[in-house]
Amino acid sequence: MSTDILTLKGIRKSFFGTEVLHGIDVSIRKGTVHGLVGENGAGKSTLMNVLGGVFRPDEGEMLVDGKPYAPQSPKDAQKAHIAFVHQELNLFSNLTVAENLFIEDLPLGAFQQVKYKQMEQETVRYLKDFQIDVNPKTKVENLSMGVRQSIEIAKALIINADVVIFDEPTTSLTKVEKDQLFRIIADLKARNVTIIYISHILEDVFELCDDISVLRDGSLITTMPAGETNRDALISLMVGRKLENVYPTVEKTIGEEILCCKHIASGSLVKDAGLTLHRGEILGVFGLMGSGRTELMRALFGLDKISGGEIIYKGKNFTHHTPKQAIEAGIAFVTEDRRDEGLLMPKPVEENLLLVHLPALAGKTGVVDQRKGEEMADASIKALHTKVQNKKTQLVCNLSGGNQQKVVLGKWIMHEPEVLILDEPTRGVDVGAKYEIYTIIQERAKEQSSVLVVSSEMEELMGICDRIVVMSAGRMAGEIECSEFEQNSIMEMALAGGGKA
Amino acid sequence: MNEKAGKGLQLSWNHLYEYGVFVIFLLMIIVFAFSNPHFFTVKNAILIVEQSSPLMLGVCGMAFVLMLGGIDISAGANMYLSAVTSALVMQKFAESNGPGGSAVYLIGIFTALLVGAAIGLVNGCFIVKFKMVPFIMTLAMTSVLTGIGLILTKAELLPVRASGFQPSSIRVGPVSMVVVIVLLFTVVFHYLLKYTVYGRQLMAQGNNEEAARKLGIRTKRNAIIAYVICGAMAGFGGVLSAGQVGALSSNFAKGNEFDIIPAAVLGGISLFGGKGSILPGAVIGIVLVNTITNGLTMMAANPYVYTIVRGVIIFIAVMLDSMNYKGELR
Ligand SMILES: Nc1ncnc2c1ncn2[C@@H]1O[C@H](COP(=O)(O)OP(=O)(O)OP(=O)(O)O)[C@@H](O)[C@H]1O
Ligand SMILES: [Mg+2]
Repeated sequence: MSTDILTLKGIRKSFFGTEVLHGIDVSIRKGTVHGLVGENGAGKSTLMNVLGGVFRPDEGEMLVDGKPYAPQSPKDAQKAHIAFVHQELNLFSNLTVAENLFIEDLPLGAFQQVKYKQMEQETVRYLKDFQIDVNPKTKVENLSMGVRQSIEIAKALIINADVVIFDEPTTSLTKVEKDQLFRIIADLKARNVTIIYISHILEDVFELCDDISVLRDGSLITTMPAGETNRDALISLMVGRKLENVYPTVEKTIGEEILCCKHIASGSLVKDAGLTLHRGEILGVFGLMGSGRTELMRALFGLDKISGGEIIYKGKNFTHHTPKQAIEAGIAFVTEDRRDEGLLMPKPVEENLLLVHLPALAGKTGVVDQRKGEEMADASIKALHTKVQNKKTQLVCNLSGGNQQKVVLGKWIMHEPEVLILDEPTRGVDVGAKYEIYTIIQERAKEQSSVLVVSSEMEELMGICDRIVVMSAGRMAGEIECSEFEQNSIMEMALAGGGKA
Repeated sequence: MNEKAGKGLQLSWNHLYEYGVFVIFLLMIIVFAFSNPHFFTVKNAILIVEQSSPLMLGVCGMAFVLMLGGIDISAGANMYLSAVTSALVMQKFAESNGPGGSAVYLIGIFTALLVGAAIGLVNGCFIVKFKMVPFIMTLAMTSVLTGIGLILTKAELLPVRASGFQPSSIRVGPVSMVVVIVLLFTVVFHYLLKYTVYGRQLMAQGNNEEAARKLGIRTKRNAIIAYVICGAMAGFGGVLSAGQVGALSSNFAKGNEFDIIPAAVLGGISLFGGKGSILPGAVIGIVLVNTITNGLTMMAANPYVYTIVRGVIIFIAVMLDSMNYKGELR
């Protein structure tokens, strides 16, 4: 047997009386990349938080290198050389890059003052190793999500770690940044560092991992070498049943034109973009990071100012509208950045779910119909298989990452919008839930709603869309009908405008 | 073309936010200067600075609490009670045949600091340990403190000068010792907030407490310390202000928190936490607020006008703060 660097025995953990980890036993071999997969809410992050000293387990013990290990705080984990890249970003947007990197251990001078010069120089030197090129004095709030995530990763690795935990590290990385991360992981592995890698993108898990552990409903189902399993087998282990299809199909008809925009210019990224959307149609928008796809959606919804071009919605000019008008006109927008823009974190699930729908629930009297609201919240939770213990009391910030996503989606879909704009709808969501989301999209379309889907996963778009438009450098680079979908030609179009992959 | 226009607009909003305070400042000075010849004089400027000084200490302390995203409404009542206890202690010493002179004054100041810090500690512990909403906790505290103060003084005028305590009479060049002490403290607190581990981590947790906790930053301890600093500085400000006024009425320092908090916010410290600094923002803020009071008094305006103006100041401060605020609301 090769040596185990980490051994967890009988780990149990409850939140407010509900047990979410039911005695986990797992060993991790030194110098390997160990994948941890499971549905949303299976307990992956919780288990890692126990390992990283964020939570204390109710029961069970841990061994690091054969020695007992019982961290009381994240500091103890660091002392044991365990680094942790959390699922959600833990940067301080009001501080500079340098301050963020060193916040736990600021270099001090003779008068207890922070040595900014030294800190900034070290930051530049350190980030160079990760090929991150930013001014150390930049405030984090001015950086893109991708760069922030890269910095978060770099920050975790600042300690000389023997074990590195990555909890869904790729959710907001561009292709280039992701490749960079994979190189870093390979590099760490070469230096005999052990890595725990959590992801819902099974392709990545298979590419990176030596061993894979499957967690389902708080229990460890199995641990096995990656070579001894395959994608389908893994999925059935995760969800506990077989998933036949990745993409659902429904019979539907495509109707008349509902939304059409031409020559849209907005901000610095959208230069001359246009598209037409029909009733009952699912239209995919593909483009590389920075192609302006998200920005075009924001402009359509009225979040960003439109500086050129026009939007025709249901035959009427609808160019300079506010998001509120858009919602009233039946347009819904699920943003890419759900944590910051889409949720009221310290509020219960039900309140979040009903937020958009509240005016409708209140009707003419202005009094909210509680019963109806409750029913609708229940329906949404059931439809998306959201893992919620009590929708009235459980706060959204206490849900697992993927389940938070489902709440945002549920909130908008409940409103039965006529045009549903989804930006990266399945990011961070498990395979089973992906299927549910695709089904809901199809059903919306069947009921003659139109759906605009932005995604960086081309396969996903090819699986559910009737048509795909490709954006590149702020302009439309092409359009493909369902029957002619083909990966290479789509990619070629996306690259044509000189965008970077 | 259009794109440019949009940018221009955005830029001017940002400018307004950044320099708006200075513009208001300038406009007010011009108006007051034209309406009263005694306003725009060195003598009056010194007077304003003197009057601002005790409150400046309050602003320094408040900066720490605001940095957390918290608030301390009890600052005014804290000033009152600290001044009262301190005055009573000094009175006792003056009556007895113990040490006299400056030793008594030091004991007086020390008492105020201690009482203020204790109040801050209670505030901090309740807010942090029992997760009470800062606004409500400190509002309740205001009532309690005022009540104790009234009982101690029997709601009568309490002379402070009787013991000879009059720090503002010691001159250092053109200004009094109070101004010098306050300036010194201001610099120290600015440094503490900007250049020390404590200050930086406080700003971090004001921005993202969850993350701070995950990094092992001692968020609870830091928060309690912030309230203690806030309380101690209010107490200190209270006793210095008492020394200036000479006697404590039951209205002493009443509502001062509504000068302190807007001053800090006008100076760029955000009510949402994690933003701003003491120098120069908060200093300008408090001087601005006092300039307005002073100017209005000089114009012999109806005293109730000030109440309105104070409301307008709070309104402007909070509006500027919110306008620049993007992100989730707590
Ligand atoms: N702080 C908390 N308070 C209460 N319940 C919690 C808390 N954190 C997690 N949970 C619950 O524990 C369960 C497991 O959550 P966890 O975050 O570990 O899931 P996960 O496997 O990481 O899922 P995902 O893939 O969505 O990130 C969930 O049902 C969640 O609601
Ligand atoms: Mg998770």
